[in-house]
Amino acid sequence: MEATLQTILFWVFAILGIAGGIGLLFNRNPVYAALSLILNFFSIAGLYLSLQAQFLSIIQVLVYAGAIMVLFLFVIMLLNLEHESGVTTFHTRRALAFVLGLAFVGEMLYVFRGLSAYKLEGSFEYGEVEPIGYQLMTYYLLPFEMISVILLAALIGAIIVARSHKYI
Amino acid sequence: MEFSIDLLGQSTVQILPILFLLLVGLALMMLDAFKVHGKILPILTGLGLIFSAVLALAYGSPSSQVAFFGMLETGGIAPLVHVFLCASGLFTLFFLPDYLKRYHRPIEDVYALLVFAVIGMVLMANAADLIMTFIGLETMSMCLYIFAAMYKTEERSNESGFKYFLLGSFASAFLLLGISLIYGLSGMHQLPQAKVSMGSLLNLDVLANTLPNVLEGSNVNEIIFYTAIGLILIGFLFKVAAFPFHSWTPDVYEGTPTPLAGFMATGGKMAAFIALGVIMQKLNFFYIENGVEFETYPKIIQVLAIASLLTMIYGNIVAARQTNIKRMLAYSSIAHSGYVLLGFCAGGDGFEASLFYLFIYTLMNIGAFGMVGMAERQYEDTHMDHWKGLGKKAPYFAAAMSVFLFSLTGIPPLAGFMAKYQVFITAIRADLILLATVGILTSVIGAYYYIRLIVYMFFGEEQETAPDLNTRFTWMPATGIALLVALILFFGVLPSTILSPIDKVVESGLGIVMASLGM
Repeated sequence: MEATLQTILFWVFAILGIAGGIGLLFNRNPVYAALSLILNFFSIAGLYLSLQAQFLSIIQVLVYAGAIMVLFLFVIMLLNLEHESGVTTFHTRRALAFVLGLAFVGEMLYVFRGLSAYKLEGSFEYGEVEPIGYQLMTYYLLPFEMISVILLAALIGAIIVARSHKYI
Repeated sequence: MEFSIDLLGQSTVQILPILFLLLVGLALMMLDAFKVHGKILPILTGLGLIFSAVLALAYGSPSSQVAFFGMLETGGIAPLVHVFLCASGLFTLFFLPDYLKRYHRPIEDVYALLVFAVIGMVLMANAADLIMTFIGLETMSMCLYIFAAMYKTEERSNESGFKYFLLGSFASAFLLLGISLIYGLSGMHQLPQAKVSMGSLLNLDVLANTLPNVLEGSNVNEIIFYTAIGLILIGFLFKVAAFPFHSWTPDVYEGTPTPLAGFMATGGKMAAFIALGVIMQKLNFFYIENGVEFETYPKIIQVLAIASLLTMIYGNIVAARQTNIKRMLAYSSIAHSGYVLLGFCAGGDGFEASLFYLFIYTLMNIGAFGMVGMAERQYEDTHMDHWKGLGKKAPYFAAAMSVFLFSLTGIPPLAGFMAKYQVFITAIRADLILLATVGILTSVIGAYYYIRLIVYMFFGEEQETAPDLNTRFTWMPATGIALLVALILFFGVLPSTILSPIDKVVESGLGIVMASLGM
C-alpha cells in the first residue's frame, strides 16, 4: 500500500480512535473514561474529514465532542461518582453475552472481509454543507421537519420526569 | 422524482390529515399551559382524531400516491391505516381521563403526547422510505417511553420507563444499522453516476429496483443484504414483542398506566407490523409467477416463520401461568403477535388477513386493558383474586369484560374468531400446515387463561374488598365499552364490511407497484 498522506492520516486516526475506545472501556475512573471518549470522537471526526465529509466532521466535534461530552462530564462531576467497583465476578450470563458478542463481531468481520475489493473513486460533493443543506430542504424535507415532533415529545417527557412532585 | 416547488405544495395538501393532527397536538399543549383542564382536553383530542381520520378518508386515493418526493404514502392503504391508528388512540381516550383522575394525578400533557404518538405511528406505517419509517418509529417510541415512565413516584413506573427506554433505544440502533447497510448497498449501485440531485436511495420503490441488481451474482452483497435485513427484523420484532425480543413486554405494560398500556399494545404494534408488512410487500418478498407463489428471499420468511412459531407457543404457555391480569394480557399480546406474524409468513392474502387481525385485536385489547384499569383498587393492583365474584357485584362490567375475553379467545359470533379464522385459513392455503396447527393448538391454551378469568368473575366467591365498580361507570368509559362491544359483535357477524375495504386498498395500493415492476 503506498503511503499517501491520506493513508497515513487514516492509520493515525484509526489507532487513536481505537485507543480512545479501549481507554473508555478499561478506565475505572469515570472522568478518564469520558476523556478517552472525547479522544475517540475527535479521531472519528478526523476520519470523516479525510473522507471529505467536512460537514459531518464539524458536527461530530461540535455536537458530540462539544455539547454531549460536556453534559456527560457535568453529570459525572455533579454526581461525584466513586471509582466503579470491581466487576471481576464470573457470571454464566455474562460469559454467554461475551461469547455471543464475539460471535457477532466474527460474523461482521466475515461479512465485510470482501469489502476491500470496493474502491471509491472520484470526488464526492456530498460532504459539503451546501449539498447536505440542499438535500435536507428538498427531498428530505418531511423527515427533517418531523424530527421536530420527536424533539417536542422529548422536551415534554423531560419536563414530566423532572418537575417537582407538587405539580403531579 | 425531480424536485419542484409545485410538488412541494401538492405534497403539503396530501399530508393535510397529519398536519391537522400536529395542529391539534400543539393546541392541546397550549390549552394545557393556560390551565384549561377537566374533560375538555380529552374531548378535543377525540374530536381531533375523528376529524383527522375523516380528512384522511376524504383526501386519500385508492391508488398508490406518494407525497414529498417518495417519502410518505398517502394513497393505497394509507387512509385506512390512518383511520385504524386514529381509532386506537380514540378508544384509549374513553378510559384514560377517569383512570388518571382516580389516582389524583391528571397529567394533562398526556393528550398532546397521545396525538404525537399517533402522528409517529401514521408516519411509520405509511412510510414509503426507510428514513421516514425510522423517524416515525422514533416519534412513536419517544411518546411511549414517556407513557411508561409517567408516574415517577411509583417504583414500577420507574422500572418500566427505564427498561423500555434502554431496550427500545438499543433496538432502534439495530434497526438503524440495518437501514444504513441497505443504504450502502443501494448506493453501491448508484455510485458511478452519483449526482447531488438524486433524491433518496432508501425509497422502497427505488430499493425494489436496485436491490435485485446489486444482489445478482455478488456473494458479498448478498451476505450484507441478509445481515441488514436481519438487523431490521430485530428492530421490528422488538417493537412488536415477538419471541426472542419479548422480555420487556410484561414489565413495561405492568408499570404503564393501564389504558395507555392498551394503547402501546395495540397502536404501537399495529404501526410496527404494518411498516414491516409494507416493506415486505414493496420489496417483493413474495411474487407470483404463473399463478404460483414464490418467496424471493426464502431465508427471511423462514426466520419469520420460526419467530411466529416460538412466539405463539411461548406467549400462550407463559400467559397461562400468570396470576396478575395485566401481565397475563401482556403475555397474551405476545401470543397475538405470533398470530399476526403467521399471516405475514403466508404471503399473498396473508397481509390482508394480518391487517384485519390487527384491527380486531385493537378493538378487543383496548377494551380489555381499559376495563382492567377500571377495576384496579389502587395503582397497579391487578391480581386475579380481586376479580372473584365481580359478576354479582357489577354484572354489566363482568358481561362486557367477558365479551372482550371471549373475543380474544376466538369464540365464534365475535370478531376475534373471524380474525383468527382469516389468519389460519390463509396459512393453510399457503401450505403452512405446521404453523397453522400450532396456532390452533395454542389458541386452546389461550382459551384456558381467558376463560379462567370469566369463571373467577361469575363463579368465584365474592370478595369483601372488591371495589364498587358501579360508581366507576361514568359516561366516558361506558360509551367506550358499549361502542367497542358493538363493534366486536358487528365485525364478528359481518366481517366483510371491513375485510373488503382492506382487500381493495391492498390490491390497488400495493398491487400496482408489483405490476409496474413486471413481477
